[in-house]
Amino acid sequence: MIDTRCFVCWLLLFPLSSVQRAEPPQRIEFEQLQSSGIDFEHRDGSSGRHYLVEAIAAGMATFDYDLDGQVDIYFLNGSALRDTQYAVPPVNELYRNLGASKFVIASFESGLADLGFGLGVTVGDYDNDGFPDVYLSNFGPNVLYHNNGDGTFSAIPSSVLARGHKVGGGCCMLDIDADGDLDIFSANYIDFSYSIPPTEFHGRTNYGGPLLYPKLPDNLFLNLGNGEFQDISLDSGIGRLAEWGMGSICFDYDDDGDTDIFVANDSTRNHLWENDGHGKFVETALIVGLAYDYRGDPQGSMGVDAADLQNDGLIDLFQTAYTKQLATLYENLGVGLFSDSTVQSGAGAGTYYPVNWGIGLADFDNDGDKDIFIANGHIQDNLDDIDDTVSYRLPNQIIENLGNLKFSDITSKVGSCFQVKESSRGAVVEDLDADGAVDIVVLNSRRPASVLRNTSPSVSNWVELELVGSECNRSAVGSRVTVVSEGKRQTLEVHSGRGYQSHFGSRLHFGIGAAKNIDQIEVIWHGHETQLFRDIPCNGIYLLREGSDEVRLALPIMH
Amino acid sequence: MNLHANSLYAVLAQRRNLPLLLLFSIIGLAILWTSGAISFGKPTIHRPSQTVLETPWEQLGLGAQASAAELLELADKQLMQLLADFPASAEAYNAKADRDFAISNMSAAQESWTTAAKLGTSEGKVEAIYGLAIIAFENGQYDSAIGMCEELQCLSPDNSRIPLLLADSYIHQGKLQAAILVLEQHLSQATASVQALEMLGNAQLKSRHPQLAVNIFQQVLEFAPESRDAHYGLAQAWARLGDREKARVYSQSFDALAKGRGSSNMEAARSFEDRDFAASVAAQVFFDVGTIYGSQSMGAALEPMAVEGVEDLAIKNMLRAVRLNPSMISWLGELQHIYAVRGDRWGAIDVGEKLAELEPAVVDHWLNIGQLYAELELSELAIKAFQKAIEISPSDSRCQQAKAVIEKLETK
Repeated sequence: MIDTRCFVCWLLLFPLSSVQRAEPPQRIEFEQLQSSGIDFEHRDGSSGRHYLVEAIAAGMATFDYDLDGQVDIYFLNGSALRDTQYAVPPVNELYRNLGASKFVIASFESGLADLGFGLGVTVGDYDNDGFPDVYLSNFGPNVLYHNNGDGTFSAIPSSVLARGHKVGGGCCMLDIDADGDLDIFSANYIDFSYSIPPTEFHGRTNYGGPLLYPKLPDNLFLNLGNGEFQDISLDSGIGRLAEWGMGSICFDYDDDGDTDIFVANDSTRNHLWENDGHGKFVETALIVGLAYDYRGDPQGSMGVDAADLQNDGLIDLFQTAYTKQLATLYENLGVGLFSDSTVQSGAGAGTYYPVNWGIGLADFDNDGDKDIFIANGHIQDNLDDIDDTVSYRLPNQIIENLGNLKFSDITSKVGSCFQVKESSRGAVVEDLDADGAVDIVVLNSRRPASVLRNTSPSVSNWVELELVGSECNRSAVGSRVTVVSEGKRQTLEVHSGRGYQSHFGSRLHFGIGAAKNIDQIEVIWHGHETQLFRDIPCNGIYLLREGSDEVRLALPIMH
Repeated sequence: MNLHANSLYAVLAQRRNLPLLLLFSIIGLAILWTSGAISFGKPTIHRPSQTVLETPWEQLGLGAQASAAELLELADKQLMQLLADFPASAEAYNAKADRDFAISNMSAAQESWTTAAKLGTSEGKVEAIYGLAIIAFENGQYDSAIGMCEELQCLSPDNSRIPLLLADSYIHQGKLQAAILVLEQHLSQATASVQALEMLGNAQLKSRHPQLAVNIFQQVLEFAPESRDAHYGLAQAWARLGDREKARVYSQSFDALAKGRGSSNMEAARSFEDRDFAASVAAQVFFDVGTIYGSQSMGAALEPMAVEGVEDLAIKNMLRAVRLNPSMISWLGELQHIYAVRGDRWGAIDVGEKLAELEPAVVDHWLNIGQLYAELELSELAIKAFQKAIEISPSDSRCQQAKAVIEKLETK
């Protein structure tokens, strides 16, 4: 028999509204994907002489190169440095997604088996022919691969794009002047020389930091629309400053309709290149609040990703950093200003000792906010004997977005694959099996890659969107999408190049929690009109074409 | 103080910075002089041919080009000897923990600080718990760090480092109001530091109170015109208040300060080698060991047992430390103190002259040198040193008294 007096007491203690709001906690779980056909193992060209270029390799990409609806995986690889010889030269490897978590290697037949020392990569349809092209930022000549539309690529001979023998960093495609074609930004890390010796530490040879090498200005190449590019680094302003550039991302930080460029610089101030809308840039990171951490200290910035972490319509930044620094959440305050909100939000939890590299912001539990994935690993490969605070190989991390700008490191709860220790570098977050759950692929230095399948209990709904531009660039890079479901608004921008010198997320993913329908999708096509799409069923992957009201399923829904 | 600064070892090293000691009271000297209790005659002692700071490396048990491994090995040997001599000394375990922390052997540091915390009664216990609190902070265990800081506040209420660590722990927990409260309470006390004001400015900025942050950072600039935190904070705060022009001005001034640091970072990167690191760690160990033996030699008995030759051990280790890091003012001050206490005036003068060379505008150094020369009955040199002191700070009351001493010396 129920004691009604006690029942009344409970009601007084717990207001009805809070009882009604209670929802089952979302769980995030991953497992290592076995027998997927992905057997990539990274080579860094090392010989034990500790050339710095080895330690920073490499980024990777996910994109649907053959337009079969399945997102494919492209790993960058090193090549032999001085004093190293390989019986079989390492090449970049492309894995074609067959669906159902199966992949087949397609590097040589596709023509993407680049022999250069791969560091950074980005993807976009630079010639608007409907097929995504690939730009590689190498140690050595950079390369633009044109997608021939038949499953093959051809390297475009271009002395402009090759840019000599720099150690490249992250790269992006963006339409700097909204003329409908994609230009290319390419960060540069160091002016490498074999003559600069490595450092000695505790009697061991170690990698010397970037400050031992001259820094280089970054490059910006203007797409002339005829397959040719022009180096406008100096004219645009980009080439007037030099730092040690690593990851980069292009996004409209101040909501003025043009695309700006953020560069995560190692051991020094970051750069934010503000676009005047006509392809002229001014560096504004310091005043905007993105140059340093909250105390004005420079960080060993590595990778960077952008997403609206608070669902306030403003794109925030998250940047990874070196050991004994926190990975940094730069909260977009609006009015063109950012605040380092790392410590009070908990977004940097567990990131102090590891060196963080790859970064991906995605809604892993489809609860309607973006969570954080961080790939970790130190650069010093003989660290474990001399330092018990950190290791060369480290577990990666998941930091869950709890809402209201609060985050929690849930790494220990997301599956045994997150206890595995590797020295990870580039990483991508992407729904590889089209089941609406965002998976993770990680490039591990000198080791096989990790493919982590999202096995979170599917209690929430989602939608994925691919944008095809007609007036704006075909890849719709720079376009902004706001999804409204049950009154909740979520915003994403289409990026080309992000994370640690990587590319992913051309297909936009939104978790929508318990909502069954998308009330409205608003697309601001880059440099062009705003278009609305209404009443879209959840749990589907849709193609949205600029100027067309048709909402087409890109793939059958997987269950 | 930002506990996420690049080198936390610097934080620990700073903990051991001792105030520069004015060895003798010039006032006392003047009283003794005028009372006739002491008298100066002709000099009877000749200066040794080499200064104590030129003691050959071999006499210090090291080669001039000792390798990183040799330096760390000798430092380790000294630490082990110290622990053997003073097995129940919290200070000795703190010294070992500092070394372990510096070489990133965090588990050993934690163990030593835990032992020190159990053994220590006052200052040694405070140092040990503070070290443990830093480890907890670095590991993101902010609750634990806060608990230890609260214990430390009871043990050492005037310690100015503890409120900073406590407030920073609150900030890292997202408890900005708690941090602000701690800092405001601390700032109302005489021991408050500029770092506390800087941290308060940052906390107000994080709390979305840019006008309060502006007010605080402007106060910081009154005390520390080149505070990077203040210039950076003002740039950010003015930008949030919508005054882009003021934000630009402070961005530029911050940039100028940051550029200076950039070039020093570059120098540091170029010179950062294994031996430099080892030398810096070993120097700190030698100083710590020397200080502890020095305390013993000066009667602050750490143990009931007597350790033979503690003065020599103290001086030898101090000399090692200052030879490896010759510009550490506080270390030189401590070494001078030990020489003076053991009556080695030439040793104290050698160190004093080095201090005066490093800090020629500090009147204390010249007064100390003058007094030491006076004690050696080297009137001319004493007068010269006193005159230098008077020239630097004529209105200083001690210099006024030094004038009287000069007159006496001149009439002798």
